Amino acid sequence: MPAPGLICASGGLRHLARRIIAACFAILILWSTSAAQIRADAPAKRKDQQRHFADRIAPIMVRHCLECHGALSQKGQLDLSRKDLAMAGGSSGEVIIAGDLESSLLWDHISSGEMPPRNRPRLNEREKADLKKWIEEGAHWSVDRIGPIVDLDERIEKHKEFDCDPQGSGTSDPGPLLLRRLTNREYIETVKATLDVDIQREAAEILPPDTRADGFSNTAYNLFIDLDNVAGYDRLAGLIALRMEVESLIEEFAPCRELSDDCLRQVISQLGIRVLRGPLEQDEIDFYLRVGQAVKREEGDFPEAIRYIVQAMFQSPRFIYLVEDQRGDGQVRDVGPYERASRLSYLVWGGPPDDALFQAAETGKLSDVKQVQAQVERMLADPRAISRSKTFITEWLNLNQLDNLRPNSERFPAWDPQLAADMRAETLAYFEHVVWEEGRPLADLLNYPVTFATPRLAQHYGLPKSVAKQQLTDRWTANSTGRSTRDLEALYTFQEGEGSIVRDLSPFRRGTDLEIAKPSAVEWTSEGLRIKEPTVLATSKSPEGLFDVVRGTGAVTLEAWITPENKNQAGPARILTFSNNTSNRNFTLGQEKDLYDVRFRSSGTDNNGIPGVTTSKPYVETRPTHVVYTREVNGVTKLYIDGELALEEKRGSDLNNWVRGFRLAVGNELTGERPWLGTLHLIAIYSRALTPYEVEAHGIGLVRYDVSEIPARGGLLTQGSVLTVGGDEASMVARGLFVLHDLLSSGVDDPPPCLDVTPVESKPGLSQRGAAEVRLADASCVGCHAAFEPLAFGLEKFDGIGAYHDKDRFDNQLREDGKILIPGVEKPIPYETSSELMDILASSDRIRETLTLKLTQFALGRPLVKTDACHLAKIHAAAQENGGTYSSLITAIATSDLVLKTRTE
Amino acid sequence: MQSNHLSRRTLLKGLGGVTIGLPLLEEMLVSSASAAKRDEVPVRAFNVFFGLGIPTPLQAEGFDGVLEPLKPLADKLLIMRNVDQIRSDKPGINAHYDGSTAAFTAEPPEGTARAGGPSIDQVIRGAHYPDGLPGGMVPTLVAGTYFRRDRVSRHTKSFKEDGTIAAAMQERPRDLFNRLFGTTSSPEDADPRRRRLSQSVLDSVVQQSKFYTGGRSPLGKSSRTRLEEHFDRIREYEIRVREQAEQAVAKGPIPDLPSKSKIVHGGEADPGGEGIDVTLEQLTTEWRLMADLYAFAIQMDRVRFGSLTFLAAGERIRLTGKYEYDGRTIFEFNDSAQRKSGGSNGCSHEWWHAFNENKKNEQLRAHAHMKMREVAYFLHKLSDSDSVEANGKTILENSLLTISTESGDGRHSDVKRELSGIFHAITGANGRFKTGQIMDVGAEGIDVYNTMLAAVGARRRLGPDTRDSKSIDKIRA
Repeated sequence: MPAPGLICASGGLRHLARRIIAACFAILILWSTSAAQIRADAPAKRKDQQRHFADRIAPIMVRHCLECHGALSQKGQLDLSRKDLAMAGGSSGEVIIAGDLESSLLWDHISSGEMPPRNRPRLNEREKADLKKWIEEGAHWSVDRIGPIVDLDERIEKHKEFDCDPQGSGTSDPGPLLLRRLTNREYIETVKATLDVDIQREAAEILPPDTRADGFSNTAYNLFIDLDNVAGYDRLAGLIALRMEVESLIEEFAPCRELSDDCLRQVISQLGIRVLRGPLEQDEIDFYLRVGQAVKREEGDFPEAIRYIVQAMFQSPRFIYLVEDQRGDGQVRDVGPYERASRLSYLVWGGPPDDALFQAAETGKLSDVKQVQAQVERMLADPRAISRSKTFITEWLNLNQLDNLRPNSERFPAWDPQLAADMRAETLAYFEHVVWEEGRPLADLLNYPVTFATPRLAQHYGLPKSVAKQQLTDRWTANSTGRSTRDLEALYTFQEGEGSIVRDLSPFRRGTDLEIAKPSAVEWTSEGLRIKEPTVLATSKSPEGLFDVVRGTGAVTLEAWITPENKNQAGPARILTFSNNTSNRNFTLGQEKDLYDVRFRSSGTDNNGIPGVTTSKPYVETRPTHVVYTREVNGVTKLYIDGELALEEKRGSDLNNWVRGFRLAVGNELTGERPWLGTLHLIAIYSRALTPYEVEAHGIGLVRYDVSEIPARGGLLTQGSVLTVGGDEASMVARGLFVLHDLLSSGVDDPPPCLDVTPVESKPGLSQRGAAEVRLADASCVGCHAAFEPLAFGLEKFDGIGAYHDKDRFDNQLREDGKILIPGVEKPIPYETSSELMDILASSDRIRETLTLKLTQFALGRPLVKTDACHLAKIHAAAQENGGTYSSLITAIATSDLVLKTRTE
Repeated sequence: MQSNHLSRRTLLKGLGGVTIGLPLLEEMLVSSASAAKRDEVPVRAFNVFFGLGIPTPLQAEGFDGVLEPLKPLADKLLIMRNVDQIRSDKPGINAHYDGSTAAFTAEPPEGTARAGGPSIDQVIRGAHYPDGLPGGMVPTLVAGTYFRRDRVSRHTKSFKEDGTIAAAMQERPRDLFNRLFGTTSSPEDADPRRRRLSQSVLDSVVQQSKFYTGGRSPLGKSSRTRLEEHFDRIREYEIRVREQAEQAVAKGPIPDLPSKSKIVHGGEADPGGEGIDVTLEQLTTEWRLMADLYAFAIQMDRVRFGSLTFLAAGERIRLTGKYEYDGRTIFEFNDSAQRKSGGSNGCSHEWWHAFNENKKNEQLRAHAHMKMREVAYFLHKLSDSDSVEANGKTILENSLLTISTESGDGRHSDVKRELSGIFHAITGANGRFKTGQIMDVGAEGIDVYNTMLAAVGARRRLGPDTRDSKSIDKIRA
């Protein structure tokens, strides 16, 4: 019954994730036990028997029996994973005779040592005793089906209760007490939402990254603190205090304005509710009071005291962690109103409560499920809910891994980081479309017939232009998802919406913010910043880092998404300039009436960058336009307008004549003599020349494709972001295990002894499918590999980076037919095409259950434990009743006792 | 590569691109309140991990085989054969991962970033420093040179009581240096008034942490315990700030950082499990800088507990370069060419999968020999003249260093074989354990570890309370 060892050699096969999934599946299999039924109907003895089955017998079967006698491998025609089939027996007849130990073949084989087979772990004495007791007492099942749970016994030991109300007291167990640190993403969002201070760039630089554990990076046990975190919070708190609008804060929270203890106490008390997400105790107020007193001693003023107090609050454990009152008598109780508000907001938004939630907490309007439901409904309509959901899909599918992939360049010359970014953008846009725009059930993610692709990705997939349906409207915003970040030195998206500062959002390098000289000359719009009267946006000092890196590499890209106000402005009118005055510059991108013009200083120009390059055709239109200037190390310059190569020339390659000390400016020369009017949507500077593909991707962005007539595409599993899990070889094993683990919440056991575990590569006459068929024809392999390789048969035509072929590189014909056995389903289901495979998966209950498990784990920030089982059953039922959508599932989680109640100590 | 032994002073002057202000750093460290009294020999415990392991049959060859680089240290080591970690097997999980997490814990994993219990260094730390280490010390230092990173426990080898990681991994020399001696303040903090006010903020943070971990905390016990870690880091930070401020006043600018790494790190180092290309020169240059800094931190008594990793469990690299030892060429590494494959298939990892005790295993032997050379490099650092302590012995002799790995056989085809006979070597821990032997121990790792814990005065035992512990007395001196 052994299985081949290919599992271990197939490349990062998530064995441990499988364990976690298996643990989740343990919970999943208990869903069919109705807690309510136990409470209402079952006599105590029956309840004990059911618990005995769940706690003792199911894990024994999982550990020792189901590998050979389960849904995936029914040796001797015996399937012990389902109550009806187990009791029906196998080719030797009935194996479990309730109440009759002597006649039960199961016991006979185990007690005689015949089973499990010699190469598998034996039952220990306690397990044997449990099994004996179970049969003698009537072989009661508490579930209709069990699955390949692995090693649940320890969890069962730790969490003996398995139903929602073990004491029958009307209270349920909401799971272990947690102290969860905010993830870096949550921290950034919390600062932004609390004080409207954006520290994304600095936090990305300063804070150590959060790492994944058990499939998600918000897993509480792994959100540890080290010295770098403490030092980082200190530095960031200082930045926050500097950047915040202190007068606005005082106006909102200070009923007084003096450095007396009384006044400070009042302010701290009010401010604390907002920053620390709930009322402070007296001790806590005193901590901050001492900070205020220190400022007073140093003869500081009231605003300074507020800044330092805020600085202290942002380093408080109460800010950094989701701190709750866990004191009590050991019983379960409702979570307090402010804590409930925080639980809801971090669940739905990944950030702190807003005014409405705080108000609801303060006025006691979060006390019942209906009130909570109303709040959640309101919150789900907020864009933050979409953002949060994208974090979920990113984590679940590990999309960040795309950034690291480096397929063999000889085999996959088409691969580069931009293609990976396009794939990631595709999946996120697809998710947003299916889940939010269409409001489809989550399971539809497996087969919904649309996709989103940049021109290059469409070419990679072979999508015909005829099925292109719609270009995303906010191109400069939408494609920021797929924007190349390599060597990005400055990025301005003009999304601030107010104020006089435009932030540099480049992720890796400290860029330079722009200050608007005359704020009344501009207008913030939903599309960016409109310069309606002459002014200039400029850095406060020379961006030395930008100077050094561009001069050092000798290559650059100046990219602008703009809408010119008119076709008359000239000079050239400065769109983007790195200069000193009208005759001395390093570079300038400008508009000369209906032409675009670039002056770039090099060994082939004078101090003014002349001769420059100017479009020969009148490209300037008063509509959104994508203008990109690239300069390669060898001096080759190109100017693209809306993706079209408008000119290509060669200039001097040496930048040694660049001048240090110039400032970067937008919308005018620094002297104010060359104003440009129009709307700025996006400006980016790279220290390399973007490729034509990248220019195209940044310009056109994602286009929606209707793939209902393209059977090979449609659904997450047909997207490059997921298909790349198979590695360069497009491994059936890796892809099959991904489906088995991450979509079907199941697993298989270790490979057995004495097998050659070397991965099999394709070769003439042997495709990956062929290699899989060989394994499946081998009696020693089929037991386990039948469980997962057929799940990937329908994907064989997709190569290692997701391109579609009928033949592989050895000219082997590829196939897409097969049959799959979904865990818990009695018979394999045949399919002819990958499209049919997607339909089967999308209609599977197992997929829906997995999505409930995954999203609940993410929402709670911890791996699921056995006590969660009955809650999950309720959550799943409620969500499916309401359409099985993301919103319905989030609502069901938010209104479950897992969120509304807490244990106490 | 020639042994590149460097004295502490040489190190301070600048090694492998490190530029450290000698007088300042030496002054800072020697004057540190954390430094041990010179007439004391502190209790120390470190876990040294290397990836993929040494197949049991090769261990039997002793110093004539891949263990050759350990021979010069033989009198300071107890090399243990036949140490089994089979109890760490988790069905459904790759046994290499089980073995990796069990190294120094002897228990099966509890999650992708969680061991089944504490590691031996942390148990000893808890036993000897229940109230924390002296101020200014790094409580636990975790560092390493590795690439594979899809699961934290592949590379991080110090675990707290609840199995979570004991400290953040420092994977770049620059990060390690910062963790040990790094700067905390910005230049403007030189302003005395601002410094006083910043101190009041820090005082407040300390008070808050005390409050949330104290008797009036709203938190339950497990949450308070978790927060105590945070509190410890804040106290460490507070001392670091003070140290630095004092030095800034007294000596001027802070030391420069080591130069940037020449090898890839972060997610880039593990591209979807497909492995990376790296030269022997790149690998050993980075590792030796890490080893130097780690050893230096021990010599300076900046750290007493932690772990150091040379290549992760299940490591995937395609190594190239001529490997020389003791003046002779051992092997010319070229994994991808010799494997006739790229990607994952072309990685050295596959030599372990293909191990066959009836064949030469030339490539595996060369890799394993090289790993022993690099482990030995670190051990030598603690055995030099700068490492002699008050009792006349070296740090290597006085400390408990446990060297181990993930597997006793590279083939994923027999859990029992994989998790049996896993290489272990320990140092004498100031006379507590026998050294100068290669011993056939024939025991479970958990019993060996528990014996080690008992010998160094820790009461805590690894494994279930109900388990009858067996003392492996033959390893004790």
